Amino acid sequence: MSDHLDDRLAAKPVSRTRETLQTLMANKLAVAGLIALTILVFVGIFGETIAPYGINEIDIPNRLTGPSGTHWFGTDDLGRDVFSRVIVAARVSLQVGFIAVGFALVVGVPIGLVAGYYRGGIDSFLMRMMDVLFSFPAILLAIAILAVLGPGVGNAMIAIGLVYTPIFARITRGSVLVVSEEVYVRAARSIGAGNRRIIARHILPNVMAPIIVQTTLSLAFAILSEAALSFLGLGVQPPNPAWGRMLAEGRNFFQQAPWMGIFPGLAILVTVMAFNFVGDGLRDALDPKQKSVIESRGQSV
Amino acid sequence: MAEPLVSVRDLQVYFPVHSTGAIRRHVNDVKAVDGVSFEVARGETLGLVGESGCGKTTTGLALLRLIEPTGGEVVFDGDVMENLTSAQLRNLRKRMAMIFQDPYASLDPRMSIGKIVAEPLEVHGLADSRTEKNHRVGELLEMVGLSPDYRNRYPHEFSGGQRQRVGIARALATEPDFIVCDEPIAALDVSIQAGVMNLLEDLQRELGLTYLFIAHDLSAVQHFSDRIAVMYLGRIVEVADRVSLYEQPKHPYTQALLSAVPVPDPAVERSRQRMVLEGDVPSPIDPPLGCNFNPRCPQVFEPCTEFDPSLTAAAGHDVACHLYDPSEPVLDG
Amino acid sequence: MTAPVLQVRDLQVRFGTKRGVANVVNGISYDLHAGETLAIVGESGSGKSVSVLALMGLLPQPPAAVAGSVLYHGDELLGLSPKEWRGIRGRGTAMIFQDPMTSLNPVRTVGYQLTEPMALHLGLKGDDARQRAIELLDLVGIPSPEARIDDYPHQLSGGMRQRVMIAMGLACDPDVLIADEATTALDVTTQAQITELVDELQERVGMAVIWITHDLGVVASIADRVHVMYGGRFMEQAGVDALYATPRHPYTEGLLGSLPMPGADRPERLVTIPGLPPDPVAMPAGCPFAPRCGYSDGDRCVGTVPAMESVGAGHDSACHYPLGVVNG
Repeated sequence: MSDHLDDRLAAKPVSRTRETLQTLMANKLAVAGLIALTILVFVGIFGETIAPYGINEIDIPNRLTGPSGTHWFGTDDLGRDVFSRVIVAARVSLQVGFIAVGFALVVGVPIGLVAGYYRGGIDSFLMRMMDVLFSFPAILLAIAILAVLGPGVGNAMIAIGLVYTPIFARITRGSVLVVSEEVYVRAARSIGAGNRRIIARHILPNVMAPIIVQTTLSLAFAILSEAALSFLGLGVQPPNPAWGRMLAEGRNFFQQAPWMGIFPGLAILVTVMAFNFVGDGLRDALDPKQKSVIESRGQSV
Repeated sequence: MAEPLVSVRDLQVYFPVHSTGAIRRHVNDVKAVDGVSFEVARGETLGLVGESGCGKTTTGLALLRLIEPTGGEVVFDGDVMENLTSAQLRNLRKRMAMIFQDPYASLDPRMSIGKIVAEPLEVHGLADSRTEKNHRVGELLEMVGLSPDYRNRYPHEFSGGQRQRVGIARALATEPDFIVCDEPIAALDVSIQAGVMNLLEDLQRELGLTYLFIAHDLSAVQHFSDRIAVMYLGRIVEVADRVSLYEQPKHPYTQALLSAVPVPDPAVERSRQRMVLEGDVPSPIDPPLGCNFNPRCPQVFEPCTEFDPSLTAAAGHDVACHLYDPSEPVLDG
Repeated sequence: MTAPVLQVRDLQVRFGTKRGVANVVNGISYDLHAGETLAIVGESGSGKSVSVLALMGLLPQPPAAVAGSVLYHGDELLGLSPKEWRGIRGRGTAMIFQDPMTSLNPVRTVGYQLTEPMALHLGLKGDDARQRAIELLDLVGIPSPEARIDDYPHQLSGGMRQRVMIAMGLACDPDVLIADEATTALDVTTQAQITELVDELQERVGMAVIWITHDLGVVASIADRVHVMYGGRFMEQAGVDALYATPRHPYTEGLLGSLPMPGADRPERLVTIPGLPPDPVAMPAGCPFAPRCGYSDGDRCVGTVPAMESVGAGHDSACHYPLGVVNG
């Protein structure tokens, strides 16, 4: 006699991914963050075409003018349009964020997978290395790396990436330690699946949730780090615009022309908050603990 | 008995215990399985029964080499598993499978049930084409009473009984000879258990399967098995066919276990004399000297606290107890 | 017969969920008399645990909504304030749960957890409370209680922990003990120890016991009366002998038939009940068991909820066509 699926089954298969997206879309802050990010990415790609002025169009007579119909965010000490520079600088911020975090992911996640799955000596070795990287304050480490490699956008990406690598390695390893004890991993072994298959098919998909959340949150911090490095003159080099650099330049004119610092500052704020909202939303949607609470409540009913 | 399909000889699984602190020293072992031997004949079901912590699940896992045994050997259809290369071992996995206790935990939540059932086929290269694979997955799902239309569904969409059927379909994918069923019904509701038990019995008849049926529920084991081995604290204390174990249990532990099993019949419950054991199972780190059961045994006598009884065969009914031991006791190692 | 200790009338529990209102308990009624053991049997999702949590005032409202009436010695329990509840819980009624590990506080000693409610309810403190705690541990069969009282829960075995839970339950002399799957997590030999213990204590202390379980074997060994629960309703209620000997409801019959019976002769196949238990969010309009029932007429069974009616002395069945009873 067979069990028959009853009518409570949804019309279409409900994968965890679909469920997650539905939960995410129900979160207003996360949706706001997603919208802001979409605009930001659009601006990052088409910044130069949208910008009303060239980023290096110097207009000394109109220097330090306040926000107006012609210059929405005012002009800086060389008469350059702040709005245009903020818009164009979005690209480099996002680039540094994505590439640096991408680097951290590509290096950190495999380290975490190997360390957590095989354990023992290889685990101790890899994780002690990560601990060394992790034991420095993030921004100091980035500055130290840039001191060796020399300032510049490319090096800033590597520096930030290196700083975030141990975070991904640790998060991945922690989840792998838990997931590799799951019965379905043992079940996969029982049918003869090899280590590589188990890692790729069973472990990795089941540790993705915290990694995705961490990626989103790290993007926010990476952009913040880039701003800090550029603020210190170690990141984007003049005359190219970067939010951190603009903030630094605006500092000198804060009394006369506060808009020079306020608008790039706002841009950083909005970007970081957008990533954080999405990250928090994703965490709520993916967090297995909260989920299991909801599920067990459903079952006890 | 004909040539057994599986024979286990003196299997041992010890888990090392380390001291805590700066320097981890190996201080002791948890003797989860401590010298277990049994044979399973082709086509039969051997029940392995015991309480939690007695080592029955560990025995099943070590038998399939899902954990490394500390000692002893397992012979599967003439091959000593310890002597096989890892490639040969993986090949042998085609012929043996396991059904797990918790159908909520044993299925990967990120995979559709079709993918779960197809995985053994992929691992062993048993399907030449996509169509062949899909066909076989459909066949397997049907075999366990699930509609092939569900192949794209995810485990969490199903009830416990249905998930366990998926687990059974996965176990059957490579057409194994031997399946270790580890508490396959313990996590299921009463009205669902019977369906899964019947399915396992039907499959055995149709496919000529050999089962090692591990459970704590003596009624279920008795219903399901041809022969039953009773485990206590890492050892087998008694092995007999299902009828003689029930009608003439020899080992005092088996007797206590039988009398503790609640029978769903109030008349029987009222009339029978229950033998309630005192105390708890001792720690497997530091088992008692002599017979493992001696601190709780109502019939303990002189040799029990000194000598370890060995499992002695007597007309298909083996027991490890000094009450039935005609030979001279052997000094405990 | 004396007045019942506990009178439950038309108890209903609903939960607001994402998918809609879940009707988990749909009107159950029973009396509990001093000294008797009443078993409520059901599968997971039948509402058995929720029903006792509701009558103990242990369900947070919302999300739960509880209706009906629960009289304890004639006083209404539903709608009591948390403060009023504290006087009853522990003192008058006690509850033991399935998992003694999570019900005990891991960072407090056994003694602390035993003496805490005594201070609250009995005003016992210091050495007096400790003395009483040692007596209780002794009563529930814990060897060398003087030493064990200073142990932490993780130092005890599962059976020991359940004994401690029972001792905590007994600390203030309750007259109702509710055991919610109290032996499910234990091994059979330990389970036998615990059921034996509760039996013994019941005789000595004279309390009434409600035993919630899915295990028909345990029920047969301990219960005086049995209520079979399914889909939030009682399907059948009877004295324990009558229920097992002559089940009058198809669900009870199915459950009993699906059990492997220990014994020499084995039946060819076990009886199975097709399908799945009902979804509390979409309860069937008629008998909750009708969709899985082999006797369903497809008309009255699906359309009308059958009333609980007498089918013999002290034996009631909620079925339009009770088994073995000739009528229309």
